[in-house]
Amino acid sequence: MREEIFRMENVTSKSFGVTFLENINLNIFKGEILGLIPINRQGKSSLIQLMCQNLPIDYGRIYFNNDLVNFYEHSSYSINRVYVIEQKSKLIQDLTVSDNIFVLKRGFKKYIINNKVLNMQVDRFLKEMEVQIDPDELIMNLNPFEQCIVELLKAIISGANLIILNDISNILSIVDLSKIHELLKFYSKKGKTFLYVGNHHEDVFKICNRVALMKDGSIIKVLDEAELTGDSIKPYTIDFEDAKPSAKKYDGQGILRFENVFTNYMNNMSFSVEKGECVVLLDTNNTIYSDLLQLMNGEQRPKYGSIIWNEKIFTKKAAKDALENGIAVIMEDATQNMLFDNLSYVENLYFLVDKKLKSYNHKSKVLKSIIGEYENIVGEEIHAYDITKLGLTSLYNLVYYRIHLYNPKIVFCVQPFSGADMYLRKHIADLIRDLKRKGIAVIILAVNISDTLSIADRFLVIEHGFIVKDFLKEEFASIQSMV
Amino acid sequence: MSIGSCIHKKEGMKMIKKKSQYISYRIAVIFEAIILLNFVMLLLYTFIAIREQKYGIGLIACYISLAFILYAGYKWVYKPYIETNKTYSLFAEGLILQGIFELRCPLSPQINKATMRFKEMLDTKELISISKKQAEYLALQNQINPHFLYNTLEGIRSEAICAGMDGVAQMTETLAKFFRYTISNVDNLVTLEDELSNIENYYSIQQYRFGDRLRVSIEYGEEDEKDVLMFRLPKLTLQPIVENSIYHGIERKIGIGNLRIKIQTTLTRLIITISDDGLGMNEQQLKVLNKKLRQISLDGVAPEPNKKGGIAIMNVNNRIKLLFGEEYGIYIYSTPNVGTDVTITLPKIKGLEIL
Repeated sequence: MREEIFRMENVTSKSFGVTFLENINLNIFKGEILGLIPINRQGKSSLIQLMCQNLPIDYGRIYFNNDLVNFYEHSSYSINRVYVIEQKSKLIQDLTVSDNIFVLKRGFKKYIINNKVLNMQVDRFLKEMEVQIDPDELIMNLNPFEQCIVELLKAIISGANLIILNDISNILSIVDLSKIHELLKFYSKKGKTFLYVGNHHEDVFKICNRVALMKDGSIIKVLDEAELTGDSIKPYTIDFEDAKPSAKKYDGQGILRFENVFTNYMNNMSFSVEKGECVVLLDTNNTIYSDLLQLMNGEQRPKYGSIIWNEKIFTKKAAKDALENGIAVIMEDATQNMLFDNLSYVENLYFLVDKKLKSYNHKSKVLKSIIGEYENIVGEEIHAYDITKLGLTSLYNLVYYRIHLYNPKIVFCVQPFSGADMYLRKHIADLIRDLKRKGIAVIILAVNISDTLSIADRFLVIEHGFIVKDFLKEEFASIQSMV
Repeated sequence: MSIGSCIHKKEGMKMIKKKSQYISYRIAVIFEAIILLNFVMLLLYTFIAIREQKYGIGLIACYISLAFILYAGYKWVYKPYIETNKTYSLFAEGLILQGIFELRCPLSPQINKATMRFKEMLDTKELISISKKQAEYLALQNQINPHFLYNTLEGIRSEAICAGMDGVAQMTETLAKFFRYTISNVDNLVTLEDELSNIENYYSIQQYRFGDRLRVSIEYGEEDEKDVLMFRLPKLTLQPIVENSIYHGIERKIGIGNLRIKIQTTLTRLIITISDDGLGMNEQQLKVLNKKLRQISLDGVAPEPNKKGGIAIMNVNNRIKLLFGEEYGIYIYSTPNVGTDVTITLPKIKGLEIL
């Protein structure tokens, strides 16, 4: 007999005529790590929201610890004892670790706070976790992994019935993620219950006891422990292979070369990238990326070694004009960070290319010509005035085709698949292939393998700032086991 | 004025007339009018108070009272009314049956009494018996007289033994056992052990047809097998689902078909999952079927011959919901060319006691 912590029966939830959850049936047993893979985005946030708070539902019943907490007739708006750990930390950055854990806890009623006692308690838990964090340290001084540990600790200490980890694999390195996985297993054995939400089955299958697949707001399949294999999930996934003819090869036309580069985190890094090539840099410790980007934009210089750009030394001056020199960057969450809501679609496309044009070029003529060129590719959306009304796929089109239009020599993509569902990831992979077809070299900075293998030509594994292995395409099969 | 606008105006009047026949609409109109009047009077009072530079405390008291009445009206009347309305709507859509008899806030004592009387008249036992009859009917599709069938099967078996045809004798015996279990009294709850042994009989019969192409396995979760087998459930809950999986999932599949029955228990529930790796069904069919399974329906008491499978599942689902409540029943997961999982949720019953 297994004890159920959470149960949803035939739950349907609509808002303004849109169905977010449709006839959902889901149960989570005590001490279980249940995986949830949203095949598309619909319903994921509604499901998590309903787990946290008993908001009105259109049909169905929700139980916590076998108590009916929410049903179609009456929803109390009460809050369930559920803690959600997300990419964006909920901790207060200006407070210390122990203050975040204890003082902000619901039901904490002490008027005089004895920091020593609180710190001792935090220390006890941290020892159990085998993690070293100073309880007096401010949250703002902790790295994402440490913040994640503090949140986990907060959830455990607050006695949450269910702890949800929502897509955390993108902020943690492989090493840190495996530590978190070990902790989840440790606490699940102690009776704590987890819902592990992730977009990549390779990541979710590693630690979960069962995995639910969600599509269009419904649970379409629950895979048992024995079914947690690549073959079982294959029918529910889509093929990431390139449907168009593959990109032309530009052998021997090197663009960027790092020669024995040392920085704070880089440790004798040497690699080169050629025209039209896609190289994935997988840093298992997630430390070198800021150094790498700072080197490219001139905020940092190598302590030792040199960077060769177009067969010339990459000087500080060249780095300051990186964009003009053909070096572009697509940031993580690019649709949030790289688009301008007050500009129309075509003006957003035009944003970088205007730097290349001479001042006497008529803007309206250029815009017309951009529309002429890209309307066949992106379709009607090119005429959109208000880009806030566009879907995510269209916004990604805009981000990548802006680079496509600007035509740099190299583009750095920081975690391009972060937070995207399966269909969107396939679309992003196709957009990166379009850049490659144009001869643009692509460097993907990733903290997990995820879908990068489908587009990569080479795969570099970095440990402690040093390239430990350079995989060619034909060796990709052995990457998973090595990493 | 154009003819079009005249028609619109007439239709608008008709709508208001139609709405105004409901007391709820009339109450809402009167309530709104009273509040509006109060508000106007309060404004007037405010105007006088400002001009006279007195009655300040009285004015504040009036505003607080009005705010309190509005808040109480929202919390005490409007919200429960909306909840009750929603329950009636779900009943009208056929999604719930018991819900309207267990309202948190009934409209009035008289309406509540009338609803209870309606419940008595409806008498779910009647529905259960219709459902059971349907089960028997499905089991007896070929309109076979059971006693005649038993006797004939026994005759065939003894003839086969005499002729040294052990295989035929064994097959006949299994068939006789299967029919005896299926056709005999459908009233009682049976143990899971009985249901599973009936499935084994059914599997043995099907094996003569499918040979090695069909594999059936039974898995138990973390629970004690002996304990689990003593739980009770309505007779013929599993066999129609297994039959469905074989005929709709595995029969048309090329290659070996696997059928897995997984049994799990929680504190209060018995969960049986019957999975096949057959043809599965498409998203649209699945959506419609799961939507139907969500509600209690007596559609298809007289089944259409070519819709046998679907009706068997609906029938099992109806019986479970009518016997134990709307929170129990069947849910299906299915993917084309991958397979189908049918999850049956039942209360845990040992002896005559629901745990």
